[in-house]
Amino acid sequence: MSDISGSRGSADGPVLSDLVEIIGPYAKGHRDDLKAETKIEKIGIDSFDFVEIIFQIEEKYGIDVDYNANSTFSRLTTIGDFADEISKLVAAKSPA
Amino acid sequence: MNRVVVTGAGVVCAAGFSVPAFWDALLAARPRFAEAKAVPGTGILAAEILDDAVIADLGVKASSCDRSALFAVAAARQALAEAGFDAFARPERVAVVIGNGAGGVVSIEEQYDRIHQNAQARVHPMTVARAMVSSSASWVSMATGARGPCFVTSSACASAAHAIGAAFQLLRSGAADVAIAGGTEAPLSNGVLRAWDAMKIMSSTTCRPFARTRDGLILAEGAGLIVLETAEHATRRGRAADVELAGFGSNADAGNLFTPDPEGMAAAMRLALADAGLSPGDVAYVNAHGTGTAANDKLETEAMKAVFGPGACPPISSIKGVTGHSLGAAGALEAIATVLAIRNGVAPPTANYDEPDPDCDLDYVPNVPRTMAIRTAMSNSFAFGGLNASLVFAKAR
Repeated sequence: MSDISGSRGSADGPVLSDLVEIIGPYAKGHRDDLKAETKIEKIGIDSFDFVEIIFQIEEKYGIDVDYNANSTFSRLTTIGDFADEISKLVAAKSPA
Repeated sequence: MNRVVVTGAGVVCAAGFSVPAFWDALLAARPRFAEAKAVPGTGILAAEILDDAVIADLGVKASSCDRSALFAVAAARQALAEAGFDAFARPERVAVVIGNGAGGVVSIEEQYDRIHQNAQARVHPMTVARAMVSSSASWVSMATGARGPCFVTSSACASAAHAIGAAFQLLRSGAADVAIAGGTEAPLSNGVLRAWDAMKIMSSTTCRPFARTRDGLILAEGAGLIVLETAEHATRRGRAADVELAGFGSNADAGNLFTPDPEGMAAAMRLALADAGLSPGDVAYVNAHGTGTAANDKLETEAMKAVFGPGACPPISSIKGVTGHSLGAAGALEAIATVLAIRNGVAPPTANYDEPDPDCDLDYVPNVPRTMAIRTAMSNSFAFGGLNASLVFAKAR
């Protein structure tokens, strides 16, 4: 397991597009804003939406995301940062 | 309306198997959290009753009884012993109202595993009797001989407060003379623990209500029951009661499933005070819902300020840093702590309070019990789904 609270870097590629697809239904009215640089707090999802989103990601990639709704949610920044962290977890699971 | 007094209490939980042991653990701010037995290797913590010998000795036929009912019967016996009841002169006037959130989930999983995991064809013939949510009420009535109104209230984490409130109303209105009321829960099954874990709101270290470092709740099992009685009935039996239940308020947020609404919480507290004929200024101590989650503790603090005024909130503490969160039993353990606070003139502390949070800026009685005169105290329960219940206890007149 890895902590996803502090993330850096720019994301592109399949994880970002998967993430945008998963987040889409939760981000009503903000679907056009789902880009790497968009801040998660700006897309109208709450911490429990986020728990469902993480569940779908864990199921999709077969990874465990170390997330605590009490402390981690407010420290997450952009969709791109989030995609980066997921990419790292996916890479750690199956090294190239 | 009849006045209603508290004449007995019983507790079975990881913090203690009797009211004095429970109170000692609360005052010592001493939690007993460990990895739950049902989920080895996961790091999921719980406040679990591990002493199988004590459980076997609780005096109920375990094969037809879920842990939740077993705990309830044991707590009922303690409470009736303290109240001085041997047998009831008029059993049809004795009510049983017990809060329970989830029913016999340990029994359900144990038996369904036989089918789903082990491809067995049969489950134990007592599975239905063990699993039904009302079984604890039935068992308490059978074990004690109470034959009055008997039912379970289920409102998640507010179940026990609703049970005590419903029993209070039965006694006030004259529908019963005595009530055994409180809550019980045995939720520490593999499936339930993982379901709670999936919500990502459980602490993997300890429960720190109202502290800046708080990172979630810890599940618990156990039961708490009190004996409520009309003041007239208690007097007729020659029982002197020192604490009365003075008011009950309950309502619904009709808002968010998970995030409580401070306005809804505040409204429940105001309803309870109005029901007791008291003002906010009369309350000397509040026993909080205080789960140790980021959202609850901040919003509960806001609700307190709305009711009592920002600079006028009485000391408020959460015992969940010691007991963990026993869901349908929590409101009863906390009501008992509130009664004991009035009786002993001591506010139990909020355990594991290591750092103040700017969002939670009240007096939480951190870590150390406080001796203080408490004439009137409030116990609050705010459940998932926006179901609120508030009880007001006072020194008996």
